[in-house]
Amino acid sequence: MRRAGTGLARPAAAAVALLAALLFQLTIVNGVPLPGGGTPDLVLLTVIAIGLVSGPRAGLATGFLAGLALDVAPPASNLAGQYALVFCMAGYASVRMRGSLRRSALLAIGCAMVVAAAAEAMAAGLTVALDSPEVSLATVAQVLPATLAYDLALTPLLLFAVVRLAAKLGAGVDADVIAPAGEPGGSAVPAATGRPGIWVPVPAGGGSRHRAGGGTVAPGDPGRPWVVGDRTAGGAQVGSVGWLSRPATSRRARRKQAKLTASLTGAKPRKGDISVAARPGRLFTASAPTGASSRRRARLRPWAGVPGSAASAALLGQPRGRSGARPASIARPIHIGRPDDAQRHKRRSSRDGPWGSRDWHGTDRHAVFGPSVPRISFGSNDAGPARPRHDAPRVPRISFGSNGTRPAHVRPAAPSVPRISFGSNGTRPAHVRPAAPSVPRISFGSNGSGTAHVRHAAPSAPRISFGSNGAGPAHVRPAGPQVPRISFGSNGARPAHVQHGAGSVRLRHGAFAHAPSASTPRVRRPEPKISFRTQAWPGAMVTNPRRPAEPRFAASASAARAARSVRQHRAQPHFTRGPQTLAGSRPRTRKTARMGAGRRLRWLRWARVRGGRSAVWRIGGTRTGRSR
Amino acid sequence: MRDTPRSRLLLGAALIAALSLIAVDYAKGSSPIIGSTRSAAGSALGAAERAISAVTRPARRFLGAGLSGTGNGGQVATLERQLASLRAQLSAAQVASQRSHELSALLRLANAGTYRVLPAAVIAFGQGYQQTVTLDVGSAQGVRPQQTVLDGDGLVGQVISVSGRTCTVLLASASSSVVGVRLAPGGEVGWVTGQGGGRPGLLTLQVLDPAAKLTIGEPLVTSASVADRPFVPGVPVGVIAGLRNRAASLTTVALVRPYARLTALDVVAVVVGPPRHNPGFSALPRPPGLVAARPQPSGLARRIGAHQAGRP
Repeated sequence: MRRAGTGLARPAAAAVALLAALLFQLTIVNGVPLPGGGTPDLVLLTVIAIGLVSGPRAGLATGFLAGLALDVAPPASNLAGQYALVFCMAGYASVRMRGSLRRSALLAIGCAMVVAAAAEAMAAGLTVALDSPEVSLATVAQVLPATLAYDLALTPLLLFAVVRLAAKLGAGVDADVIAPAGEPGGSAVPAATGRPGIWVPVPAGGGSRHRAGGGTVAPGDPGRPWVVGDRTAGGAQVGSVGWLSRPATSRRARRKQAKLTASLTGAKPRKGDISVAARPGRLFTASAPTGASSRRRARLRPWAGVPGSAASAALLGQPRGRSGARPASIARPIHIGRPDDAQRHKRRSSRDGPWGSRDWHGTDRHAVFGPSVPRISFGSNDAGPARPRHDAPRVPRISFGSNGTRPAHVRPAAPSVPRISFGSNGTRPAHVRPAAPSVPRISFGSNGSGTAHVRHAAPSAPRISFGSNGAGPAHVRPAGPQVPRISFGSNGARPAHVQHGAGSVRLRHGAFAHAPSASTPRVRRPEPKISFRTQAWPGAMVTNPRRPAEPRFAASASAARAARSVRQHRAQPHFTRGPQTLAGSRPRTRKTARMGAGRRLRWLRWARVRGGRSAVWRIGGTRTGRSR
Repeated sequence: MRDTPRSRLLLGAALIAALSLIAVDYAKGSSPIIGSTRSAAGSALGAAERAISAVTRPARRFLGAGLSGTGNGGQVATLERQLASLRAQLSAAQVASQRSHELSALLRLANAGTYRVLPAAVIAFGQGYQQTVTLDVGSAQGVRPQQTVLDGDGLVGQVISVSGRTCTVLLASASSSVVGVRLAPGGEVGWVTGQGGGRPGLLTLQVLDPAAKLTIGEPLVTSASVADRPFVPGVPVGVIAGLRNRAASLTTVALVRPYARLTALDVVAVVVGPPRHNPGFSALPRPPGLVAARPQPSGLARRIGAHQAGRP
C-alpha cells in the first residue's frame, strides 16, 4: 500500500477525531432527546469515514479500538466487545469499499451509508441477542429506525469532513485500485489552467516531474501548460479539487473530459462518437509524452506479431515491458490481446470487487454491429470493400487483415470517422480519403506496393502507423502543417519519415527524449513525432509480398517461426495462448468471450460498469442485448 | 483495496478478540481484566466527560438560544455584540435559575422523604439502546452501588457501578430495572419495569392483586427494599397513565408515566442516607391548589429540617 503521507500525523489525527466523536457522542448527542427516540452514532460514522481513506490495517485498528472505547466508556452497561466486534467489521468493510472514492462522491456516500446501516442492524441484533434482559426487542424496534435515519443523514457530512481532513494530511487513494489515474490514458488531476474545480484527463506521465499543486511545465515545451496534478503515488489525491476526486466513469464523461481537455490545452480531440483509443486523455494533447509505463498490461503490442515488427523487436534484442521501452500510447485501443493475458487481467480485476476495477474495452472481442457501435472486422478479404456503410456516417471502423484488390475502406462521404486497420495490404492504396478533414488514422502493418497513406488534403489528423513497410515512402505529406505523426517499426527502402515541409521533432524509441535535441537544427514547430525502431532493415521483411498479412498477436516477440505458423490460417485473427501453443504442444482451445463470468455482482444494476462487460448495448438509444 | 490474506488474517484476529471479550464478559460477570479496563476507562474517559460536560452544559440546555446574526456595520455590530453578551448573560442566568429550581425541588423531595442526598450532575448518556447515564460523583463522595438516584420530580434509577469520581446509573426506564412500588390510595403492592408496551417514555406497572381497581392518575411510590437497597422507600415514581387489562393475566397491568423526565436529566441526587422511618406517601407532589395555599419555607430551613429529621 502506497501512501502519500507518512509519519504519525494521520494516526494521531484519526485518534483525535475518534476521541472527539466519542466524547461528543456520549456527553451531548445521546442526551439530546431527538424525535423518534434514536440518536445518530457519530463514532460509527467516523470509523466508516476513516476506513474509506485508510488501509486495511488502519481501518481494522480504528474500528476495533473505537468500539472497545465505546464498550468501556463510563455509561456503558453492555458486554465488553460488542461494539468492538461490530465496528471492526464496519471498518474493514469500508476499507474494502474505498475504491468507490475514486468513482464518485455519490457512490462513496452510498457505500458509507450501506456500511452504516449494516453495522447498526448488526449492533441491534447483537444487543438483542446478548443484552436481552436489559434491552428488549421492543426498545430496539422503537429506536432503530430513527437511529438509521439520523445515521444516513449525517453520513455525507462526516464523510466530507474526514475525507477533506485526510486529503489535507496527504492520504491518497490506494494505488491497488484499478484507477483511471494510474492508467496511461489520463487521470483526473487538477488542471493548471486557472479554472479551479475542473477535472480534465491528462496524459499520465512518469510521475517524476510532477509537482504538487500542478502547474509544472513540460521541459522542452515551455509554451504550453502541462496539465499535471499532485500525483505522488501514481494516483490522484482525494479531494484535492472539488470535494472528492471524480474521474470519468462513463464513456460519455470521458468524451466530455476529452473535449474539455482539448479546450483547455488547445489540442484537437479525436473526432468520432467513440474514441477508439483507450482514454481520450491521450489525444496528442498537451505536450510531448513523458514515457509513461502502464501498470496494466498492454494488450496489443505494436511490434509483436505485426509483420516486420515482431522479428525486428526480437532480433534487436529489445526487451519489452521495460519502462520507457514500451510506447504507452497505443496500448489499449481495442481489447485484442492474448487470451491468457486477458484472463489474467480478468482474474486480477475480479478480485477487486464490484467497484475495484473496470474494463475499458469496447466490444469484448466481438464483432458488434450497429449504427453507433465501432465496427471491427477480422480478416475480410474479398473483392469488394469490406463493409460499405454509406448510411452510418460516424462509426469508427477497425479492420484486421483486410486485403483485397479493391481498397478495404473506401468511404466517400463519411466525414469524421477514425479508422484503424491492421495489416491492410493491397495493390491499391489502403486508405484513400479525398476529402475527410480531420480523422485520426491508425494502421498496423500495412504493406503494399502502393503508398500506404496518401492524404491529399487532410489538414490536421494525427496519423499513427505500425510496421508499415512498403516500397514507397511510408508517409508522404505534401502539405500537412501540424499533424503529429507516430510510427512504430516502419521500415522501408526509403527513410520512413521524410518531411519536406515541416521540421520535426524526432523522438527515437530508445532515447525517448522530452525535449527536442539541440543538435536538430531544423526544428521550427513543436510538432511531436515519435518513431520507434525506425530503420531501414531488410531482415524485417518477413512477409511475403504476394501473401496478405494477418494480424498476429503473439505472446512474445520471440519467433518468426511462430509468426509463420500463424500465417497458415488466414481468415481469422489468432488469439494464441503462448508460444508453446503455437508450436502445437497443447491443443488449441478456442476462446470465446464469456460474458457474465467472474464474481461481479451482475444482478445489481448500479454495480455494473457501463460499457463494461455487462454487454447491454445501446444502439441508438435502443437496448439490443441482454446480459450475456 | 485488494483483499489480501494478510488483511483477512487481521480481520479474523480482530473478530476473535472481540468475540473472546464478549465471551469472557458474558460468562464471568466481572472479569478482573474487563473490570480493570472499565475502571481505567471510567477514570480517564470519565474525567474527559466531566470536563466536556462542564463546558457544554449551557450549550446543551440552551442550544441556539444565544445565536444571532453577524453584522458588519460599526454601531450595528457594537449593538449586536452587546445584545449577544446580554443574551449570554441571560442564558447563564436562566441556567443558574433552572439549576436552582432543580436543586430546590430536590431539597424539597429530600426534605419530604427525610433522605440524605448527594447532588450530582449527569455528564454522559448511554450509547445506543442502553438506558444508563453517568454522574459526576463517585466513590470519593461516598457513592456505593445499589443506591437510589432521584431528581426533584421523582425516581431516576439506581447506581450500578462506581468508579473513583463517576458512577453509572441504570435508569428506571431500562428493561432490566424492576422497582417495587406501592399505589398511593390503597397501598397495593406491585412492581414497575421499563418500557411500557413499546410506548416511549412509559413504564409498565404490574400489581400483584389481579382484582385491584386501578384508576388513571393514581400515584406510585417506591416500597421498602431489604436494607434500603436498591431503593429507599417513599420516592415518587409516577402516575398511572393507562390500563392494560388482560383477561388471563395473573396480575393487573398498567402503564405508568414517570415523574422524572428520564430522557432529559440534568441535576439528580444520590440518596446516600436512607430515612429512619418510611416516609410513606408524604414525598408525593401535592396538588397545585394545596401547594399554592401553603407557604413554603426557605431552602435553608428545609435543609435544616431535613438534617434534623435525619438524626433525631
